Amino acid sequence: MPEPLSRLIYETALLLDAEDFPGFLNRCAEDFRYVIHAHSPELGKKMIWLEHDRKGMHDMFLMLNQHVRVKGHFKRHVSVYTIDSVGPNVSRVHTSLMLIHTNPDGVSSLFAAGHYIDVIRSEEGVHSLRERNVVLDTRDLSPGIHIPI
Amino acid sequence: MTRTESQWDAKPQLPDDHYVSSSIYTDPEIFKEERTKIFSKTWKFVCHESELPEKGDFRAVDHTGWPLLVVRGPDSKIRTFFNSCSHRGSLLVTEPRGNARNFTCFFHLWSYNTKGDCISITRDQGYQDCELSKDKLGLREVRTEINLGMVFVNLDDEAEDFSTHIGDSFNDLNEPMGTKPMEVFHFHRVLMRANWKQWHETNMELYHEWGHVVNRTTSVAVPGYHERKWKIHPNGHGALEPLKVQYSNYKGWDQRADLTLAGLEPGEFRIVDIFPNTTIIVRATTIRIDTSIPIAPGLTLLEQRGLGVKGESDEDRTLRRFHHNQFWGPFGRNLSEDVIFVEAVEQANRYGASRYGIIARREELMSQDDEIMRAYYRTWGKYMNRRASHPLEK
Repeated sequence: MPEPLSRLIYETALLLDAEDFPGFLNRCAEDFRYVIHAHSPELGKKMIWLEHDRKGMHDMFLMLNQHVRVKGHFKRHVSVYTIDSVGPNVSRVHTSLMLIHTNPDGVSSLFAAGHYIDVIRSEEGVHSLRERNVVLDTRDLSPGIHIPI
Repeated sequence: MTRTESQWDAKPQLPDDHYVSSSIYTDPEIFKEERTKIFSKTWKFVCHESELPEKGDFRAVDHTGWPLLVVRGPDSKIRTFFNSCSHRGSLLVTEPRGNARNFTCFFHLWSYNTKGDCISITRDQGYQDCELSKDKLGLREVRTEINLGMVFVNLDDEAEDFSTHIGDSFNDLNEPMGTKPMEVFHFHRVLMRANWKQWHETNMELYHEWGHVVNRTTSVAVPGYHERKWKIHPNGHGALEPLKVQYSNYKGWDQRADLTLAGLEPGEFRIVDIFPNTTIIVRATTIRIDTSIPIAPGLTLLEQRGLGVKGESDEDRTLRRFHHNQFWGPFGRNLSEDVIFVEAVEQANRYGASRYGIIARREELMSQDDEIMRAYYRTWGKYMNRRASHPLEK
């Protein structure tokens, strides 16, 4: 069932772009897990830079408007590469990601590149994200960022 | 009441060491002098020993524009050299890390062992006429000291020894960093549009913590926050008395009662600032080493390391890393905000709109007293033979 799964990936990108975080969480399963990975050539090690379950994401979103954040907005350009069945009603989706930042002056730049490795559960026609692994190629993220990639 | 042009430009009516001129952040000559008068004369943190666990392991690091090579030799000793071939100066190592028995320059294939001796010169008979031989062509070694696992270097062979330089400034770190071997599990860099000193100031003046929701809720509101005292070392270092942070005041966070590092109470926070630009911060279960590489007056590369206990279980490391990432790292709730603050200051400093920075708080050396900053800039002034308040007058 490739088309609905791709649609889920694109919808989550649009929801995150719009900072519709409740909408994004509605596309996530109750046992959702979100992890951002990077690799350090300096350490020769993999790193995890953010890791939350669904509740952790929810709590993080609730506090966002109290933080001092990078101004401007983000746009996710995503392309679904592959969709593979990994079990009954479970698929793994590999998606290319480019996160573009546009500042208040209207200057756009590539903020981060990487890919998503998502696990999607499909039950009775409803598809939800069970796991999102963001694997970053980019390691310099300007000041940093308070929202999920 | 607003101010006129002349009022804005006038020197603050304060003692000389209670303000700094914005020129210290923007003037290219001052920046150039800082490289030679401060960074080539002081002890500077470059990496942690855990980044070189095995014999032959090396790290290529940037010390304010001087490329350095830190290597663990066959005798397990950590040495540092200029990452520069004795022949024509090429970088000897071009990867950030690796392991080698010897280093061979990719340009003309001269070779060195991991103790820095030159062991091979291609067609060395060509140098016989001028009596140049391998034994005279070793790498330039740089003084290296390790304390609590942190590797410090000094380009000045005549500078005072590290123990004298640091004095008792590391006392608060002895237990959390010295009881069990630590290791770096997190590394990231930020290219920041601001001066290196402006960044180090965020680790000294704590009243900007009002600007961070995490600090407001977990620290500033906590009893005892304002009553901590700074201990200031004559060499420009400082350490603040500990605080029991209430992490659980921030939505969804736990109190960090488990996995507390040695010698600490649950939730305990400690900070040690080392002149000129390194800070070690302990947050109960995890440690951050913060240093920087000045590139230009208004451009600095920040280096951030997160530390945990070496060899701990995956479960313990997961929790410790989670705590680290709550505050720090590119997705931490706190660190990026400091960069945003400092870059906002740089924009007003850049072409002189902002003329002075006020560091005049006096609170009997309590946590938001500016004496830590004043002491820092007095030390800066001694190295530079300038006053931070009017640096362009010698």
